[in-house]
Amino acid sequence: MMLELPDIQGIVTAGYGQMPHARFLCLQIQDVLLAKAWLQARLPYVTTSSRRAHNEPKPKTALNLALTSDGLSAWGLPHETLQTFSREFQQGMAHGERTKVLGDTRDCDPTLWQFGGMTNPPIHVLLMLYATSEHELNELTSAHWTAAAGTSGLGLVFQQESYRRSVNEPFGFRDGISQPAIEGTPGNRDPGQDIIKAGEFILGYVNEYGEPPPMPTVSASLDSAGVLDTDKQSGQKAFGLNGTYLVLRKLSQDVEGFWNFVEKQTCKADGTSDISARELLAAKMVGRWRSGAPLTLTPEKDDPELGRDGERNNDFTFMESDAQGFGCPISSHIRRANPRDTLQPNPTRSRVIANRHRLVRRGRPYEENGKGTQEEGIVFIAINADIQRQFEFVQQTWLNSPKFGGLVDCKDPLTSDNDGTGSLVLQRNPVRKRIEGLPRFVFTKGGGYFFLPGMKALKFLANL
Amino acid sequence: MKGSRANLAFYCRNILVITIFTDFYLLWTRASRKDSLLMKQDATTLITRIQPAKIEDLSRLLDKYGACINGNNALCLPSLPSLHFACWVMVTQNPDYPPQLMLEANHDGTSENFLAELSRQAQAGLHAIYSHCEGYPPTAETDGLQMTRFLHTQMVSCPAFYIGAPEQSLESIRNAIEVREEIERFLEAEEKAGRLQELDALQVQRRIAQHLETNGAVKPQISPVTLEEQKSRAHTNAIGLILLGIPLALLLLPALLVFYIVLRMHEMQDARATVPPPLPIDPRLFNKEDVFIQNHLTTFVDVKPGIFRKWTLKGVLAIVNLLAKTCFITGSLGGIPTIHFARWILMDDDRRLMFFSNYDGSWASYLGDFVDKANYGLTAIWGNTDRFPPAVNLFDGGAKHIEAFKQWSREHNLYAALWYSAYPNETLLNITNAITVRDAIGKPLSQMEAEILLQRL
Repeated sequence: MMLELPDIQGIVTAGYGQMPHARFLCLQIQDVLLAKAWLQARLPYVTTSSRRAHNEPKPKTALNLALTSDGLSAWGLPHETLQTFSREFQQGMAHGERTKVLGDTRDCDPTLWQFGGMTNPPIHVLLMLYATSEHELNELTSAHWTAAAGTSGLGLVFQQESYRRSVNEPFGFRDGISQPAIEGTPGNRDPGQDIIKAGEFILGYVNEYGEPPPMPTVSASLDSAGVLDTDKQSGQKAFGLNGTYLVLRKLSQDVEGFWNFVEKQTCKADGTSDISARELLAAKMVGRWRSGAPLTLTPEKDDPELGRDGERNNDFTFMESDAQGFGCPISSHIRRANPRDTLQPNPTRSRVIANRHRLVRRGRPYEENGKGTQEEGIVFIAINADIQRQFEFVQQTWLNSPKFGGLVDCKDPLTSDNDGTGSLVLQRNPVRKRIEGLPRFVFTKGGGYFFLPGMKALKFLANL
Repeated sequence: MKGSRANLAFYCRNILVITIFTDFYLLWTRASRKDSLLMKQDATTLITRIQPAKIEDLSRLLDKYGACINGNNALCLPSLPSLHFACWVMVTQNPDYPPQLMLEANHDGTSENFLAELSRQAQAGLHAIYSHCEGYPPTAETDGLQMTRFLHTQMVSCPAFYIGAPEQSLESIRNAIEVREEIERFLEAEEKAGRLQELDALQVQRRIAQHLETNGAVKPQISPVTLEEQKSRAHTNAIGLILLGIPLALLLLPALLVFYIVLRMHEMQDARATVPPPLPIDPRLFNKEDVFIQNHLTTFVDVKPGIFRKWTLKGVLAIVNLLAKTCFITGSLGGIPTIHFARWILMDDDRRLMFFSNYDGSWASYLGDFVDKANYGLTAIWGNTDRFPPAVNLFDGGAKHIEAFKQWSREHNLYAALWYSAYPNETLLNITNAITVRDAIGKPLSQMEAEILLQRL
């Protein structure tokens, strides 16, 4: 089935790599009639996945829009419509059931969040703005938000700035390497890049189980203008068609804590640094060197040329040359976030199973300088058709599980909810090295589960 | 009409032949092993009618006991030396049936011994629970024998039972965990002292073995049957089953053909039925999940009406049971490596089917495993029950439909207020690894074998 690219918002199929500046505005509906008019005026500016004509210049800005479950409710969608969305989306990221699954507990509890938490004002709409320069971004913001704010019927709840100065994430490692390709989208595929069924990332298409994901619907009576297509299965209007779920999390990274921990574990007996041991341990925790070169391909030392080379840096599996984890440890971040061929019962089956839990990642780094404090991290954004089976599954079953891959007490050393009691096991011959007392390095500061509607659904909302 | 009834009778007889065959085969395999019969784990299931007026009281009591499973003096389950897992669950939803209380226990030794032990160690708690039930003799509060006898009368049989680590008693599992921890401590100390440098795998193995023998705080017990032996048993059994199964299938071929036609008729009829509206999900389920590494699942469904479905279900369960006892004896049930114990129970004149399982990880990952690895077997079983996603050719369809299957499962999960695990933070893989290391660490190994063994740490 052909993808309806003009109906799919652009962030699903593109990361807007040429636009390093981004701004995320969390908005609350105050007057829904005004908000509808505001949305109507935005419609021509929403970036879609339409293919650019050959002579058309690359766009300098991008704009995308998503809504929370609260937002759809405030917009006026009836209860029975909301019930056609997934349970996780309806509950929202800060719900107690979700925080247990995600490990957002203790110092990451939603009561402490900057936005989206239980004690913060509710978020209804997420406005995502991207631009090639700061100037462009400000103009974009002014045109679509500041100038219209008074009459938009929306109030600003939280604003997050983001600037990507390099390809590295704050810990210092090349980011965004292993990205699945969505079947049916244009663009080149890199060697080793998995091509995943569109239904894993866009509603209305077949997923990796050979079925379309559940479709959020509205009753035909609400769609008097006849904007939406009819859902064949339910006979209702397919509100979810060409839409998807978007997960946003502000994740603060304790960069100093991470490197101090690595330094302490690797320094020589006299207290001086052992730089190569330090770099190796950090790389073991990630599964890649700073340059992005995977340890499975270059276990002894970094190979920046390999790290840079998109044709080679993701073209590998584990079981053939690194089954035991002597290069890339079983507990390392990349072996958990995408286990490739390592899952039970065998490598071939593992590829099939692992590809049922993939995410399109659209995260952006952020940096904030307060009084004598500097905070770095990423605005993690993931796109998936099933929050439970994809985003939450990866966090719960692969990253936060101390039992991953037959281990006993090892969570992901980088991105899990470690609490200082777990350990890190580095496979070695003849016997493993064990590092105890892993603290948490990545902290949730806020976030939410959003629905990223297709263009027709946005138009439907503007008309509602 | 007359013909089809005759066919049905013929077919049912054949199912009976299959069940008898599987039972015979099991007896034979058991008899051929003289050892370890005593330690073998068993499944005990009790079904007891609750006095309708006392349902709410009992529910409160089970909640209270379930909230402090380890500090409960009345029902002191951790003090039972043979109990791996236990669960009490109330089945009270459908007013067409009497309200019932089920106990699922996975334990070492025989049911008789277990019930006697349970009565001894937990008499006050049992009295508190079962005094809400019909037929309970009040004198059992003080009379242990009376209690055991009462519990015994409530026992039902278990048509299909799977054990993740067969032949391993609770004592053996606990010992393997302790040995693993002792080895980890030892290696830590050796590493710090720099005594592991430049040793090869064989030398490290010998050092560990020596430490356990001379200085270790824990003495390794050796399993009655090692995992290697289990593997070769599974292999032999598979060959035996194929050799016996093929002639049997040929013998029953005409009956199987009739069966297939009738089955397809039933399936086509089921496929035409409209998708029923969703049932409410018990919100209490979610609070009980993901407290420990292990979780518990109870799936309770109505068997589809009619004699055909009932006997198909019985036949499939008999085959599953046979496979569980002969081939799936190395820690994996149809490819799922995270199940400690699982069982299916038919109740209320075979009109309802209960599934109990004790598994590792989250509900979402378990259900994912069902679909990714074991959908055929599960569809063959649950395809005979109400509201299950439509099956095709007995095995196909059904549990392959992940969304429909997950929805069906959630709707039929029963809330179990009182669930106990003797080792709630150990996965089955942790346990089998620990047992493998313990059993082999003191043995003479080759360099290669030692290398492989040490990677389990």
